[in-house]
Amino acid sequence: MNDSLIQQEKMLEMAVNKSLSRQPVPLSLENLFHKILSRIAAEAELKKLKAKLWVISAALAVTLGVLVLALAASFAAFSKTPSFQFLRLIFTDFKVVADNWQDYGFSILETLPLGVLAFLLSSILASFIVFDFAARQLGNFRKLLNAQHHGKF
Amino acid sequence: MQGFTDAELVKKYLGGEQLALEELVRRYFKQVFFFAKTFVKQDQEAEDITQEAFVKAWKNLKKFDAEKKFKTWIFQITKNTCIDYLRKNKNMLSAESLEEQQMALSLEQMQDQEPLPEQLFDSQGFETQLEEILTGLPQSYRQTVTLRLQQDLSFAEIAEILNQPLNTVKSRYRRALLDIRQRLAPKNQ
Repeated sequence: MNDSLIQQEKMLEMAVNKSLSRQPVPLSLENLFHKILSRIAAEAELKKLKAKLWVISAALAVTLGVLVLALAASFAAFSKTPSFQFLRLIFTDFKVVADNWQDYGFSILETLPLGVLAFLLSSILASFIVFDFAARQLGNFRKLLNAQHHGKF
Repeated sequence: MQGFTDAELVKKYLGGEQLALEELVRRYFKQVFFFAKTFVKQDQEAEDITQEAFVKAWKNLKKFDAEKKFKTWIFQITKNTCIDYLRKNKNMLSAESLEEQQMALSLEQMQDQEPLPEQLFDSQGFETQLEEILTGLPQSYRQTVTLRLQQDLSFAEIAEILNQPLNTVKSRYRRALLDIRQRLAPKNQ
């Protein structure tokens, strides 16, 4: 290649470079920077939520397990105590129960397996709390996923 | 944050400084957009790809090798994102068809070139003509020229980004310039 061609190639490179740098910048590009940062923030949020969902799933599994245990324990405890037999008296000997309602009430309370009952109620309460939390987090997760689906990827 | 190198910014971000990531995005988002634009036609598509490329980079920031240039790395991610996007949208031109698109020019032809008239570079309408020629260049030529001249990358870096042998990139660049010259010549001589 002779000198004039080499020199001309350099001129051509410069001209191309100039032309490329003059490319029109789309108006939307002004917002692109913020869009990228928002997208990254959303992804970070999604990542956090995914981690939370794992914890929630584990908590749900544990709570449900405890609830089943509490139900089984309650059933076993109630079947061992005479509470049901006392309760049945309301239908069979209502008059006697009504006449001695205070003694009757105390007798029922004495026979109730309070420990197991407290265990059952607290596990039901815990289940409600975990379910409520899980529902809210799932709602957030769905919102984020929907927002992502609006993109092309 | 402006005085820091890219590698320092990555380190700072991984150390918990959110602003470091913003600076990295600010530095490269336009370049990434224009590089993505060499793969797709619409600005909106290039914007989506730019966003996705930065999200991928963010997800893999821990894997970034500080020995390498961040710019080369983000461009590699962008190229892969573009390919994924084109595949997904079934617009992907195969390597073969891209080659078919390219003019069958040999480097030997370069030797036979007559110099373009000197006044051509100063002539009226030259810039517009050059812009049209650049837009009409085959994709692989346009990418190589953009990376070399607009992004100021070395041939080795371009080869790494495009995952092509160094000599292929060099010859592609020369063929691109030759193509531009040929397209300029007949209209002005």
